[in-house]
Amino acid sequence: MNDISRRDVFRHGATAALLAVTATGIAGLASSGAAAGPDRVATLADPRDFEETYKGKKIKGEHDKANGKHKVHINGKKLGVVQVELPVAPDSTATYTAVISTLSHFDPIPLDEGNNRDGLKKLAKLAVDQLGEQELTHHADHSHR
Amino acid sequence: MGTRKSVAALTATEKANFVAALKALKAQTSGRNYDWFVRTHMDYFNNVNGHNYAHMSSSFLPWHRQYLLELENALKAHNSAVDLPYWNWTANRSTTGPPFTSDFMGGNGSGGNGPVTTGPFAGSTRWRINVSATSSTSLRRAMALRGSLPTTSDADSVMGVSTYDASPWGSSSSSGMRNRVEGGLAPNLHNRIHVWVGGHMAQIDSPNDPVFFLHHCNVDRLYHLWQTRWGFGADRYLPGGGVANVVDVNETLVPFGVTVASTLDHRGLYTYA
Ligand SMILES: [Cu+2]
Repeated sequence: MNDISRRDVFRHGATAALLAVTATGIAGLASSGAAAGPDRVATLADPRDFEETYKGKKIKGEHDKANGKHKVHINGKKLGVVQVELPVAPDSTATYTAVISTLSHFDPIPLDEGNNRDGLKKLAKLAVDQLGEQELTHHADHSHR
Repeated sequence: MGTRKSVAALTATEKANFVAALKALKAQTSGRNYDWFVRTHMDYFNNVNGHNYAHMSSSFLPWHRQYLLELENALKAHNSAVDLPYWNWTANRSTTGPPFTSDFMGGNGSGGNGPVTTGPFAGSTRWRINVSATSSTSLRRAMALRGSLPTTSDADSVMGVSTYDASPWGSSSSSGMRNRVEGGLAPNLHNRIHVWVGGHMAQIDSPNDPVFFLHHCNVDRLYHLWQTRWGFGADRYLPGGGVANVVDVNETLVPFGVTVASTLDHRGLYTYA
């Protein structure tokens, strides 16, 4: 069981750090009484996560939709990301989920809506486009929660 | 009492005075200087003390009204003749016209997404960026690459919405005037201008670009027009009370120490021409 789940984790480009997260996740599930079978463990590494080079900059994204705390790093520096809910139409109670960052604060990018499963990567690439020859500073992670 | 004019109606002297006051505030070494305003906008972009004071909330309009007023007063300390001007983006829609002229805000970033090269804020020796999410010490713009400018009919349609805001009083509010102005809901009068100017204006540290204040002055002017039509009274603001984590009409706007109610009728402090 653990071998299978571990292969799953590795297939999604996991690192040692992610394994540590996985271990914590299993403990969390066990203590809350939820089933900790292979399927549950596999979901801990999100297939939408990415780590690649775009226009000469290393972009890395880790999803955490359940808590709305996605992580994006550009050249190893953290980009603050916030998940927001927006109305699908006037007078509708239905909403869709989008992400904004400290660099694209007024420009929500849809996440997880069918065609928009690469929303977090789009956000990371947009940040690289905006940066040009610049890098992020520590303020890019400014008191986001 | 001050009169806030359109950037297109400013005289050469008024433009020069405004630019000089901004630079004096930037150079100020005590009290609330220009970078204090940049830092405060960054700090209050998100949840503080369980409240969204500045953005994605009902208090978006009163918070920014008070923020602009404090900036305007800080400029007046350097030159009492200065009033904040507004950039009416439904009328002034060119990347080279007002306010983006070389005697005022300067133009686009070099290469369409780089440092501003013209005007009094071009280059870090004229206007140094000290607090930012990105490493450039020069002001940057990337005009018209993304975003767009609202039309007069977009603005008019929002002014016709009589209800100030609606539950859940945030980015997902699907009716009311506030979210249509702020931008969570179409036609989006505020967010897309930040995106359209680009560069620092698109970022959490958007007040690094002085055009931020001209843009928000226009947002405040639209709020003023809405109030002129629907009323300046405290009963026109929502929520009226009892909503946890949202700034109700009698709650205090942090860090300014004034209630929402006290900001609503601004007519004793300034008017719009
Ligand atoms: Cu704004």
